[in-house]
Amino acid sequence: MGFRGLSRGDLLVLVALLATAGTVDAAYLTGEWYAAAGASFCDVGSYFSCSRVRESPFSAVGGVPTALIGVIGFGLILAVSTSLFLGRSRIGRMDLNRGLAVLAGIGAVIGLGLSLIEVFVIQAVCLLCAAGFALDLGILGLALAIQRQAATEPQLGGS
Amino acid sequence: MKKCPVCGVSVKVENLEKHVRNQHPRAEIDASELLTETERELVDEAAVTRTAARPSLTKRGKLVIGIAAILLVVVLAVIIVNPFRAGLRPGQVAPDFSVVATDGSGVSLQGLRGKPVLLEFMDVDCPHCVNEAPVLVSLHSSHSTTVNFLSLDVNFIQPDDSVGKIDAFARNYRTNWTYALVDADLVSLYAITATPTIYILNASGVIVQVYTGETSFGTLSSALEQALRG
Repeated sequence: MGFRGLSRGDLLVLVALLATAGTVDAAYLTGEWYAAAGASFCDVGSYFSCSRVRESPFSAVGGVPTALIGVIGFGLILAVSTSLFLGRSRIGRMDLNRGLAVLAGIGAVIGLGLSLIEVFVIQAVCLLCAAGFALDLGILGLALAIQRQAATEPQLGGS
Repeated sequence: MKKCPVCGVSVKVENLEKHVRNQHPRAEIDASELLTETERELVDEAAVTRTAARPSLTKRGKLVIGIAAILLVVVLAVIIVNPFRAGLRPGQVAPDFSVVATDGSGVSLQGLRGKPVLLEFMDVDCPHCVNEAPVLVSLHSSHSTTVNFLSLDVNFIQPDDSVGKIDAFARNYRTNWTYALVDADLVSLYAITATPTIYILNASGVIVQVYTGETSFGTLSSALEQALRG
């Protein structure tokens, strides 16, 4: 037990839950990016505007929407957390606990970078992008707690 | 791995008993004697490990997960449905404004009454506005005498726009109508959140249609015909 009385299983399900929400969030943004330009659902004003963020050159890297990278990242986190919950602690030589923390760390760093670009360069904030960053941070916190538990508790990991 | 004493196929130690039972039901072999004591201990230990490796959920954890799931669904739904979305709707009178056109002349919306108006909020750096330009050029060539065209650059996308940049855009795309660079107040007044946003107004200044994003010639043409009918 750890992380305010939650078990490793609880933490893994929470990670999977956040990753599912992140996947949905990023998939919706990807759909919006591919759709013809239009006012985004999350436009509250000219500052809180997904549209302004989407129409900026930072919304895609080499023709690939940034949100699609989010779908892949959150999808990977979902797959790893599900595997861990199902009792699989390794894939080949890769420790999935560590893999989860690394993926969460990469996601949080990318999320932080994109958020800074939104605030200081585009000068507009996409609420769904901000939600994605918040999910990244949540997953990172949970992944670190899981890794700490894995380091302190005896490993009973399967294949 | 261990060889099956009946067929000689290599089978995982933990699966050997099952293999013999299922594949060779008529074999006269006591399945319980297939494994040595050490092998059986290893198999039993592995089974316990496999079961124990799957983490369990606590009662408190289930509660936290349930609350988190509900919160996530609510937050995402609120953002997507967005009850705070602003904007003017068809049927409303378009708010009046005055701007300085790129040629230095003063233009007011009130002054354009008497003819329908195609009012475009755009940004010269917006790729969708670039895509829309030829559509508007076609519309302008067929409606230039009956409809007023006015494009307002809202400067959403960096780098900053200027009169020179807008003039260059107009020359480049042959958009021969009035352009102006507008400030945030007008953007707020019309609740512009994306470019291009096109308002079609009738001769009395009433909003007939609002389109956001790239809009086809046919759609805009129909809206202009609607506006021309009053």
